[in-house]
Amino acid sequence: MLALVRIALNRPYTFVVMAMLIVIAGVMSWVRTPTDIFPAIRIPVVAVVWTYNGLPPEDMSGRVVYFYERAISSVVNDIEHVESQSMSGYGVVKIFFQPSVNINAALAQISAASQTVLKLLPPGITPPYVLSFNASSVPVIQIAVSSDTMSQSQIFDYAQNFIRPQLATVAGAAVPSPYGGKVRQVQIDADQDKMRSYNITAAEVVAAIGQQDVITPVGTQKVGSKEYVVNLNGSPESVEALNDLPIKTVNGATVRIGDVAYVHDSSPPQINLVRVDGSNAVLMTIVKAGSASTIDVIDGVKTLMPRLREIVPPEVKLALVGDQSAFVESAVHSVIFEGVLAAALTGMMILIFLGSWRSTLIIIVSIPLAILTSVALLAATGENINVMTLGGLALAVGILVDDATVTIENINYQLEQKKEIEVAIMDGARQIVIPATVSLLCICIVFVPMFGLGGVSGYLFLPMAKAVVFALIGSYLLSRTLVPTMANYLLRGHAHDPDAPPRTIFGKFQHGFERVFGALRDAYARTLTAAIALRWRFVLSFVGFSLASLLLVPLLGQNFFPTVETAQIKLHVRGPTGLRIEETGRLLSQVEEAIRTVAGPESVASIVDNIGMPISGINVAYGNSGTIGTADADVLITLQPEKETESEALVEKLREKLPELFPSVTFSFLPADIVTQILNFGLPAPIDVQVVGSNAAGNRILANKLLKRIALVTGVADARIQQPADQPTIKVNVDRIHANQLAVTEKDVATSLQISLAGSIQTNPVFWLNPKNGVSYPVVAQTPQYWMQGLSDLARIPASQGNSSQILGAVASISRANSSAVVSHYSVQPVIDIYATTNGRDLGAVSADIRKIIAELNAEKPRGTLIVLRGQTDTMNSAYSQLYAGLALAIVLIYLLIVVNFQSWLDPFVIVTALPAALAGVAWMLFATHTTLSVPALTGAIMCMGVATANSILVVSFARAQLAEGSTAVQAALEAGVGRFRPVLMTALAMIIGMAPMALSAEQNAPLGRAVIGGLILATIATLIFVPVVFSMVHSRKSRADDAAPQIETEPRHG
Amino acid sequence: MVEDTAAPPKRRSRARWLLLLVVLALSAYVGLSVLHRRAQQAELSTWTRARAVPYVSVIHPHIDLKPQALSLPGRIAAWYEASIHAQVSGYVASWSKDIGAEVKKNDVLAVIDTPELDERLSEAREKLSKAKAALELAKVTSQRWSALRNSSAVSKQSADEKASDEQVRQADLGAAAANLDRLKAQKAFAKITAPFEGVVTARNIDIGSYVAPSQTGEPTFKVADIHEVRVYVNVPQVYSAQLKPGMNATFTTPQWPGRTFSTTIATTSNAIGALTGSLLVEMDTPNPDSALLPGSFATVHFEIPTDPSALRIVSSALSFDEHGMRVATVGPDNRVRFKPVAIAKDFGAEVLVASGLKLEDQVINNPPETLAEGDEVRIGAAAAPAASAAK
Repeated sequence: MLALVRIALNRPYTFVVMAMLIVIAGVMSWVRTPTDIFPAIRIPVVAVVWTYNGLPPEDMSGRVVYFYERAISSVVNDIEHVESQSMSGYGVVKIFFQPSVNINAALAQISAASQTVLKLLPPGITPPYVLSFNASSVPVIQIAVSSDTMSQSQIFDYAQNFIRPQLATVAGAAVPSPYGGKVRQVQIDADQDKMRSYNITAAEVVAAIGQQDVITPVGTQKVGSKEYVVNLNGSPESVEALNDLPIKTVNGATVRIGDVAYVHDSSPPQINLVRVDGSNAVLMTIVKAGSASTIDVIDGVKTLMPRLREIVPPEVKLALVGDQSAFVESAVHSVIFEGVLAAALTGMMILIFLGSWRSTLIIIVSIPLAILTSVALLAATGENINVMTLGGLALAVGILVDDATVTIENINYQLEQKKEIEVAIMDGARQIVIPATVSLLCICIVFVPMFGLGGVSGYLFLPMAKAVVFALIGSYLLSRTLVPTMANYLLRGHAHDPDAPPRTIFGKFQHGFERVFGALRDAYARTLTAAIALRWRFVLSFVGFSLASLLLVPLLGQNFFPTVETAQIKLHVRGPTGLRIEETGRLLSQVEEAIRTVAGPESVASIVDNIGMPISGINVAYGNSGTIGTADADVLITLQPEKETESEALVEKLREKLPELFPSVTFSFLPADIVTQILNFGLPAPIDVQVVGSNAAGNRILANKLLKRIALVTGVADARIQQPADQPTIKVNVDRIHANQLAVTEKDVATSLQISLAGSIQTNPVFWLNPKNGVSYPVVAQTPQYWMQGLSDLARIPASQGNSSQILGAVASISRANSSAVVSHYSVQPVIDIYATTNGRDLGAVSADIRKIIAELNAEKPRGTLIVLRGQTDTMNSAYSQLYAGLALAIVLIYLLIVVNFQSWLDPFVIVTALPAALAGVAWMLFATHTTLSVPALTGAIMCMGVATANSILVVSFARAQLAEGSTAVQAALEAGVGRFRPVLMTALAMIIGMAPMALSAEQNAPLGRAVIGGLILATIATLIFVPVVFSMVHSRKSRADDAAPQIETEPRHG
Repeated sequence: MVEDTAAPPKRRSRARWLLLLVVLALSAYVGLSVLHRRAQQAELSTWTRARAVPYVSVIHPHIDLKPQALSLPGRIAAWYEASIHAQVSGYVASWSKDIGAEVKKNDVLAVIDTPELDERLSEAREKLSKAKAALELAKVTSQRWSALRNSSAVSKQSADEKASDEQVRQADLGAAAANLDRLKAQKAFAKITAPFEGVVTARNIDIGSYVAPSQTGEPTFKVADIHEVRVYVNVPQVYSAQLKPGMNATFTTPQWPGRTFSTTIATTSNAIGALTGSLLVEMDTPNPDSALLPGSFATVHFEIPTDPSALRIVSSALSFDEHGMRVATVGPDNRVRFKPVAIAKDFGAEVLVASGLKLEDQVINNPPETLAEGDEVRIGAAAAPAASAAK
């Protein structure tokens, strides 16, 4: 290290160039690195989407999903867990992997497995979609496509076939099918009455289409010198022509399709409806995929907008909604602002303390260089710029000052001893090389546990730890290289003479400050003397106070992450199970009206309703709002920006008002902000109590019981069961024997029912190529839903295939039943989820209460059933236990490090005794600011430990030096305290001031700032008073050989 | 700050007071904060508990005498329908009524050219003349021989023979006349006539086509009387008990969308057909404007009278689980009471409750599946929008 300093003095250009390189590398990395809200959470998830039109959830679960889940659990490696949702027509299997997985191999295995099971699945099923994404794949922006003049199906066609392919070119954007609108499809409206009058079954109609609309390449013929392409009129030119296709000829009379049905360009029955401020629209959601940056994806979409507007006709309006970039940018900007403000404030503080703009300049130059070093290193290790790394850098600013300040102070001190500049620099460097290295190591060590964090919190906090550690290492190296170089130039001949009379106003101010500071130091010296005099009483009361303060911790409450206010509210509405889309739409208009009334008309900027099931399973896989059918709807309420702060109060009001206005409708507020969506990891709520097991009836009763108990837990809101089992179901029971006597088979009934209700597409896929636009549209025979209204209409549909004319009612009885609206599995076992969120109380306390309920109900659970608490609570608990364990480990590591440094078991102990005070300070600050414990707060606490230890080391090493020079323990302690008063106070103040902007903000990292400030205030007091006192006690005792063991060894360690 | 207390001895007591003050202030702060948080917690607890009591919407059962409808496919037949076959073989010489023609009884529809019959007719005529002539001769001969016998010029035997011969000739004449009559009658069939007043619904012959008497081939003409039509419905066995003669019904046909025809059940076959598994029900309907064409398909809606005491509720109020079919009612104490009900008839959107429900019961519409006996509920907005689902 000293060699470096020597180079700095002898070959000064080296480090000037190095500084320039750092600037270049840092700025380049800054510009090139994608900016995002969070670090990439590389927990790979693969979603496999099975589609089988009209298959009920229970059959989807039993006949498709189970097969597949079992298959993949035996052939795919590194699975963390598998969960699935089986809905009407869709089965979505999500495979969560260990972070160590080779995702490409896993994808290959997953695809292979889906081909293998295909043969075992219902006939006609197509291979699934396989989508790969990760926890941070959340919707980042939406495009609302609407038009006053065009039909819904035309808008959808534009969105699906023209806008979507363009959007797919935006790097990092995943674009599922549009929501809302109507899919274009050729519908054969089979008229039951006409078919009956011609004695034609629906199957014959479908067969006729299949036989008359063929896609068969007929080949070429060589005639003369040419080879001719032979073109068959295999497919009619227009949809209308399909009406003329013959079905059969009886007695010379030809029955055409148009005679018994009406073929037209239409759409399947609507299952998804989107309304933007009350008018129908199509919504295109853009999901961030992979490690792309939110901002880049949104910017890409925005730059594409003019092109998209050109592609669609002028009457189609495109509007951007749910733009998360403002949120991300404001979060990032506010962190940058906090950092810059921190640097400025610290700079001013240093200027005041040092009273020399030259010294200050050196420090102020080294801070951005250290940060740029960190940015460059972060970019090199593949991290993006995000709130966490920026927070880490803001956090580092305070510590960065430390290294440079200590170096400069020491050089100044040496200069004041009238040494030559080079000598002063060398001596100054030599004096602090060991303590500086040790304190660097200390702060790095406290971040070591961060590297062991698993899961989401690991991905979030590791970059932060990296940012801090990189900045510190950079600063450490700079203080050995650039700082001496600059000192050599700037401080030459500018030895600070404290006795010289002030010349400028600033000089006078500084002079005055020095006087005040001197008085403060005197007061401190008196206090320290008194404390040493009353050492026992003082130590005991201080330790007592620290320990008593820790009693505040349980009062703080625990959250995983602090909540941030956003101007968006996402409301999930679930009508009575099985509510039809038209009714849900009607319900939603009323809900919308109620929301506007409750919120006040001028507060709401826009409301977007997304009602019912998306038309594609891919959307189901990307969705995280828990939509399972047409009775579900998501309402995205955007408040006027100035009403942002009222969102929480509004949610509470809506929670009171809406259930009263709309009985039997379930309302739940989902996280609208990208942060919570990421933290929830695809779940619609932070609390997820799962009842796992195959005893369906028993588990249902248990889940209902659990739900009722959980709903009563203070601070719980929106408690609900995700899987309703009361999907209204019509059971058609064919009496097979009776049917057989009438020459009707079960299959006849099934075919007839399918074509009448579900349509023919799944079992008899037929396509018609529109020669005008080159799109192949499915041709589906189906009885229009409005013709099938009552149970008697169902009973009347033809059951037989031949000439006998039996109706369904003749061979089957029709009854009511309930069935599952969705079947969920977790690790290949059926599961019922109870979702809940918190309202006005911390997640930790609420989950503790829920855990109690679970423990009580565990006695009543059926055999083989498991009640598990998952969701954010689970992630939070694992993060907390990892952080607590990390904290304990950090203390042990720090202790061991100082043991090596001081070659003593006792002095490190003295230093460690100051740590509980830091924790006490954290507790007090959080308590006073009504901040709950959270992962950022814990990070702050860890940070405090590092800084507190570093400061204590300075004091103790100084005291040891005095002791070695022959002072008594008390004298040494006093001198160390007074001697180190200034640098310790400076470091602590630098940090506190540096953290102040962050602590005062309302962002995610505010608790971190608060914890650091609180912790440092008490830790500094401990460093300056408690540590010297303990040092004096320990060493005076040591000097009195063979004395009894000091009582303060009962000092507890908080872990 | 709490530790800033130690000081030189003279200031010690002051410092001690300061320390005490700081400790007291901190304790007071903590104490007050904790109390405040407790109060907040209690408030929150009340709020949470209030949210946990679900709102429900209630409906009342009602009585509706609107008859129940049973819709079944049927087929329309003419009041009378005759298939007219040719009685003589021959070629069609002319036809005078085409399909759709309204005919009176005995109107000639077509004439068949019967050359063979005509030949046989003249032959028969010849035979008749011959027989007549023969009879004349025999008569004369007999008279002569009779006179001769009187004069005993001939034997009695011979005279008897001549008399007998006359009788034979007489009979021959009768036979020949009968043969002629038969052929004449047959010749009459060469003119195809309408058997009753009605409409020609089929014409399968044209001039020159050969026709021959046959029971199996195509009829030459079909004539139907559609002043009234009969609607036949094959009622599946399961519904057969509900239908009685005299019951009202309406029906619609695909060709007359929006038009409803009224009718009543005339009779039933009173037997379930083995092949069809159904009861044949016949309804007679006047057809003044001839709108109903025989052979048409019809959708028949039988109006089955409703039990006037049976209550109706919307089907969304039903809840079924392991306890069977129940409805949740709200008692006067705002507690949920489940009542088992028996469904008499399911109309889809509504059901007819056979038993278990009273008119004044407050029935919860769309009961949440988590609702249990004895749960406290609040009655929410009266006109729950979701209730309109049950249209």
